[in-house]
Amino acid sequence: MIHITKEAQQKLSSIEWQDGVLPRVDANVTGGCGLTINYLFIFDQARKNDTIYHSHGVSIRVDPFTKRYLEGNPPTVDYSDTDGFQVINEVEFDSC
Amino acid sequence: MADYHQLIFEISQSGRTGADLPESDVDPIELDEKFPKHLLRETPAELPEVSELQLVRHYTALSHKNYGVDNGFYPLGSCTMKYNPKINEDVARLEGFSRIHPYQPAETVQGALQLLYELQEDLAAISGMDAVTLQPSAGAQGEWTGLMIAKNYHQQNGENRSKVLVPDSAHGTNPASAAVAGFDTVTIPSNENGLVDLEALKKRVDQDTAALMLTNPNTLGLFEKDIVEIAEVVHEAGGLLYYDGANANAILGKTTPGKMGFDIVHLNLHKTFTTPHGGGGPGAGPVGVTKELIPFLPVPRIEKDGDNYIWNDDEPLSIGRVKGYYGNFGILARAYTYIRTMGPEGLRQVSESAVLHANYLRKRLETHYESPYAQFCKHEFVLSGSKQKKLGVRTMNIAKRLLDFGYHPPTIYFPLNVEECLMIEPTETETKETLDAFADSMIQIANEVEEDPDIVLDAPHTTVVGRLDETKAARKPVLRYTKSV
Ligand SMILES: Cc1ncc(COP(=O)(O)O)c(C=O)c1O
Repeated sequence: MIHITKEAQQKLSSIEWQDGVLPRVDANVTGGCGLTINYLFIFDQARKNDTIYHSHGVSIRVDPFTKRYLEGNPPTVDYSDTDGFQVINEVEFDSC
Repeated sequence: MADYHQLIFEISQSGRTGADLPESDVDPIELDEKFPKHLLRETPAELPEVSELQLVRHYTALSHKNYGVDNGFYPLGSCTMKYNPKINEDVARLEGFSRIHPYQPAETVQGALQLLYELQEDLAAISGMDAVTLQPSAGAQGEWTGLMIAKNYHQQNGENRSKVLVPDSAHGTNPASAAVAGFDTVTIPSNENGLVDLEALKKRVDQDTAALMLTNPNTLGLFEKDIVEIAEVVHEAGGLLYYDGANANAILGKTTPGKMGFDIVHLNLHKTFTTPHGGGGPGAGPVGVTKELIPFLPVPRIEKDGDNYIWNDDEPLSIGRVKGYYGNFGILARAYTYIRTMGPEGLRQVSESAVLHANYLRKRLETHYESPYAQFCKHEFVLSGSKQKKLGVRTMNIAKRLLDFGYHPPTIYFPLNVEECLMIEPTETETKETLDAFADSMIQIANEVEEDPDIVLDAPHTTVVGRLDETKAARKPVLRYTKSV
């Protein structure tokens, strides 16, 4: 359901997790000119009804709202020193 | 499926007709005798051929697919979807108004000119300005017109001020209009109470400030209590104060932008002054200004010469014409009718009821949804879906679930400075029963989010078209209708 590049795996395995915090792929809605949806990679506490994906020893949370967008469109989490974590998914869209 | 749910082209049958034309009593001519060959069609136009009854059913069915204030509650924040009294329509349709031509000589359309003139006077009184132009055809065009007036005013004083200040809660048209008018925009942050951060404003105002654009009450529905000091800060630096009066529903007859210290005002007649809107127009965004700025107003201006109304084109400092003809007359006629039927006391009641209704709904909902600015509001208020987000459900889902209850959702994800924002404007025209029923639905949805979130996440369930696959729409858009779809 979620692909993780080698670079992202390495970075994630080097992080010491605080209590209850895990990475999350999150569909983020912003307003303005119509509605835009893009994907964020964030670190936060659990939300109710989260799904947890295990991939290459890493656990990633997705909430039910985001899960509906990811169905059939598995995103890839990448990491680089310059851009940090990024979710690559061709379905980002906005209505402008 | 019944044929009136299909496209009119799909129900067409060759040779069917809704009207019988009388036999022609002149000799037919060949088209290519009269027109050059390259202008003639080679294949007949695919016009639908239907009976009169099919036509009536088709368009009646289409009209039922629309949702408007006449169908139900429409609490779209910042948009003031209030009821538009039908008497406005009667007046706008009077033959003496609807069948005149803008190029008719002024002496033949004195009644229409009187209406325009008196509307200008009324709007000047309502906004506390000295003169008003009715030309701009939308709020955004009013903003641009006002900023061009500011620009020309500064230039006339030998100054080329390049910056327009805009709070972060402002409507998107504010920075857009500033950019189109050739200004750079500077964002002013809001403080924790949702109001303009006065200290941040002081730091950003300087000799290059052409104007500050402000909405008051702002888009969070909060009254900028420091407005007098804000005006002083901007005026001391030589800047002008621009009032975005698109949402004037909370201040009618209570206060005026003039009293608050504003120099330029635009009003959205298609919101506060009841013209049906929401489909992209037509609208009207009249602009009012103080004395010093009158020479810069657009031409032609309508003036009174003795007992006659005349057009004045001769104003050398005017920014010129901003709209074909003299504005959207039909909308101006509706606004005039509304103002005259309500009267000053009626307009004051409008604002009092609009504010009461917003606060009533806010109070009923604030224990179920996060209320980021839990204080007395004006005509609208914001809630945040942040509590529901922790349960995996978003504001977008709540909005779609409201469709199942038969409501148009409130404005969502605006203003941008509120997480998972819901912006609710009930307006003064709704009954307590409607407000209560809407609040009950919102509370039921909040409970569903806790107990049965899938019903909210998969909404809407009862609409003609269910939950749309937005990702598929983005990846494989079908942009052209084909019969097989
Ligand atoms: C606060 C505010 N300013 C400006 C505008 C722009 O008005 P118009 O859509 O007529 O251009 C709007 C419209 O939604 C508004 O709410």
